[in-house]
Amino acid sequence: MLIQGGVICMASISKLKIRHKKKGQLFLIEVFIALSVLILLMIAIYQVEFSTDKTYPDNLSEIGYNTLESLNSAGTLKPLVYNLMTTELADSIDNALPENVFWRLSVEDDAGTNIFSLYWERIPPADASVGATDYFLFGYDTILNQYRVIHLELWRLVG
Amino acid sequence: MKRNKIKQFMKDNKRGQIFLVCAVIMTIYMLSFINIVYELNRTQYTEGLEIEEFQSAFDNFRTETNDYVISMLANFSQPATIIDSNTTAGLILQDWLDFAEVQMLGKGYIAVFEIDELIPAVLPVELVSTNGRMSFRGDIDVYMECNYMSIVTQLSYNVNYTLTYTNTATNAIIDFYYETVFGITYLGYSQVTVNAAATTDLYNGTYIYSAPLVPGDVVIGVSAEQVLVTLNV
Repeated sequence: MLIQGGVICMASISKLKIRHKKKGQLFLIEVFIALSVLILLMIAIYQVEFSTDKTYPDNLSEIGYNTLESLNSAGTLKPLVYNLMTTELADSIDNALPENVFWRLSVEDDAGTNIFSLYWERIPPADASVGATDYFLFGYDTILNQYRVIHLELWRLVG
Repeated sequence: MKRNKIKQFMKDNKRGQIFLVCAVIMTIYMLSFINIVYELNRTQYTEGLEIEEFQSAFDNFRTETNDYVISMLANFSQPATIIDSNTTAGLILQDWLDFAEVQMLGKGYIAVFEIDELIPAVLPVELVSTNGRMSFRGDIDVYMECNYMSIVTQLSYNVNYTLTYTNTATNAIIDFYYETVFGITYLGYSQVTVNAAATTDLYNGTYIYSAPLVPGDVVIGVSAEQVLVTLNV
């Protein structure tokens, strides 16, 4: 009787051990799955950040403004615009802009009459993000009332 | 017996089911979070872009207005000036401000640029030409607004172009400079003549004439911005 009782007791202990082992394994698997999900989500967050940078509109208008502003600060923009030195103006803008940026420009007076245009025959691709900037000038040296508005459009050649 | 087995099965799998539900909720939550981060990024980028463009437009206005004031002074200093009085100067300056306002409106901003008259209805701005000095004084109230920010400020001008001299035993040292509230800037690379004779430019705003100046001598300085200052000794 005693031996039988002992055998039953041993069997129930080993069953309990197996159940505990199973629980531990299940817990491990759960932890593993949870960690995998977390890591995958973290990767997904970084993926979103990387991909969104490319879909944002490019800050081309700011690049255009900085180009015209730097030329004006250097004192070269007004002589070129007011003396209609279009070739030199085109060269100056080309030198100031990155090589993969295409541009076209028009200069108007305060009444909106076109004074001259540069590369206006260039048409930006339909899927291109086009930046535009308007830079206005009051005149040149002692000339006070010859207002000009420079309209500069830019787009990237690739991307 | 069968019922008990089902009960036991349900009991054993409860934790797994709870875990699954939690995982689904967590995934939905994380996806929403990613979407919120994405949208926030996008909104902030758009906002940042518009603010940058807005500030650029203001910088364009401020730079040109600063230059405009100097050009007004240059025009006023020339014999063939179109500015015959301070009232005319005020009208010309306001014309520029109106033009700038229209440009800002064209860009989608609200802009109000007005002269804050030195003496209301009497003296809008002040242009003064005296012996050895050419000066401009005036204030411009600025209000600009876009979707995300506004700029309320005043551009205040008090510019004095000045010619002074000091005689030594053998020559005259002539200083040509302009003075603002920010300090003195010496004007090298300008043209300074004494009785139409050239002086030696030391390129730091100092010009040397070969003899001491005497009463009756006329010193003329022309800056790079074409501001002409006359000094009668």
